[in-house]
Amino acid sequence: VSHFAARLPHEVGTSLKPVTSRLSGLTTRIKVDITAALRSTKGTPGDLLGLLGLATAVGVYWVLRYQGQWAESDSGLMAQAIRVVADSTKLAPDALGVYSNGYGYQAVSLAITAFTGLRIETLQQIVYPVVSAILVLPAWTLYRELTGSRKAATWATLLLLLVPEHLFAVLRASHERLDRVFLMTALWLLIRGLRFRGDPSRSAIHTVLVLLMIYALVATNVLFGMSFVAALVTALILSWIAQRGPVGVRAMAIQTTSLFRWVSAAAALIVVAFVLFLYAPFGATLRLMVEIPGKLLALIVSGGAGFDPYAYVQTGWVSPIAFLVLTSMNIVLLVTSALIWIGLAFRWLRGSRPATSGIWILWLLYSAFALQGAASIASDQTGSLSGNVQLRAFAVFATVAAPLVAVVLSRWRPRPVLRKATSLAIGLTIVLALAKASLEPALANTWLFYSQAEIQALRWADGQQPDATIWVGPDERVVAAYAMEVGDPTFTYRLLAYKPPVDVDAVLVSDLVRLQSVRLGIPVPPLGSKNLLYDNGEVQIYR
Amino acid sequence: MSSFALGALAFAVRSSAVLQGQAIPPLSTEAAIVLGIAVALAAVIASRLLRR
Repeated sequence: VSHFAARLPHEVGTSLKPVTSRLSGLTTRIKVDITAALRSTKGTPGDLLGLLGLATAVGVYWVLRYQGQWAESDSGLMAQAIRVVADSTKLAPDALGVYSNGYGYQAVSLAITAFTGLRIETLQQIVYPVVSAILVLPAWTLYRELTGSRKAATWATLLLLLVPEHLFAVLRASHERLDRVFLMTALWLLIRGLRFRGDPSRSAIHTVLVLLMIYALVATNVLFGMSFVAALVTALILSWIAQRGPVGVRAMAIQTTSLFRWVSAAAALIVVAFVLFLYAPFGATLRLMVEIPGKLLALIVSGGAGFDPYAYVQTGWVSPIAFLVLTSMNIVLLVTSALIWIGLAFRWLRGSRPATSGIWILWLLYSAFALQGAASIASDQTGSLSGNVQLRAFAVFATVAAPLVAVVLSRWRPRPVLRKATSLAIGLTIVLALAKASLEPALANTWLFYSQAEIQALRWADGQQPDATIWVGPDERVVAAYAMEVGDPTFTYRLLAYKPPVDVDAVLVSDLVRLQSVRLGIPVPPLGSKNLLYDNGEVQIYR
Repeated sequence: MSSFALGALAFAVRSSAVLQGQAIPPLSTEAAIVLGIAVALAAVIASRLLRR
């Protein structure tokens, strides 16, 4: 305001002086209020301790549910990828089993095993799920920056811990927990940096740290890095449009256009440099991605049924109703956040201003990640990238949907009866979220657990039947378990799952395999013409 | 009230596992206790926030 007044002709400047002085005082007061609110730590330790305790209990439950003997395909794949980096002593080895989308998770995991002496499978199955509780810290910090409120930040983090897709993503042994840390920290630094625009040194430090976090995200998983760049570009386009839109948002839109312009350009450069010059193994994924538009076009032109990404709801759970009940938090979060997003848009269209720049940025990021969710629905029809992009996109989307709902929820002060009922409902929602995330076998037909007897049988086959292809069950459960515990990639590729081929060499049978075959409707291959080669009391191998 | 709900859940899961031929690992007491702690913590955090 003072800068503007100084540029006016002397007479005009003098007559406007009382007005500019009052405006200047007002902006200073607002600045002081917001800074004081963000700096205040009243109630913070209690909030954070509670959330950390809850996240730790969630991680410990995940480990205890199957006594640490759990695996799923990506977790097994990442365990193998860590071993490949360790064996080759290269971050990007040209070897079977290399992880094609980045090296960050393998590098961090190897560093931890080197410092602590932990075995890779112990780190993956027992330590990581519990340590993931720390994710609460960057989440809460980001949410406080976005909402400008500690209470809303606590609500948002609590809501996030109730989302089963988020829990599955960060509890399983994959790169996604690191992706979230880097994503949240990059966003927090980016938004926090806005407060230091008049301070070149602090602003420069924030810029460097933002770029460092983006590089870490890209190096851990290029696909998530690309998703982040796409979200930044979408937010930039929306900001640019909003500059010409309603009066109430124009000033903030100018600010965010400038912010997203430089950060999206820098992030895009990092992705291009990483893909083209730094990490050659990504070529395989890139070729798959290039095929998606062509496949989609072919589907639209031919009108074929394509891949059905929703088929697992029928086969993967004891009933669609069980699936719906367990995913109820996803639905509640999706619907309420969408309503709030629409409500804010209407309010701003009528001339209101966003309460803070954080809320405006949150609205933009929500729009960007929601758009990616919509795009993933189309992508999954092609079956590319395992046909589960929607699930992965939703887990990321939840990180921006939760604070949007929290902003409204933090203003709600119900009567005692309603307060108790809501608290109880939230407590019980964690049961549903954990049952869904850990694929509770009473409800799910695809399982995370396995038995040591199954691994023991495969170790025997590894030595005694090295040339045989072995059918190990109606889904990838045992393949993932072997990859997690043993992890020789050349052997894993001889393990067959799903519908058995007619000419399969050998068949592994256990009570678990038989039960799961019944559940999934994929019968065990006929054993009449095969000989029993191995029996450890629980598991048999026929050939 | 939440203890009752938790007890019911543990019973349901354990019964279900027994019914399915004991191949599925039932919910252990340790896991049930930790789940109870998670439920209680979530409810307490929510209650504190709604009171503030």
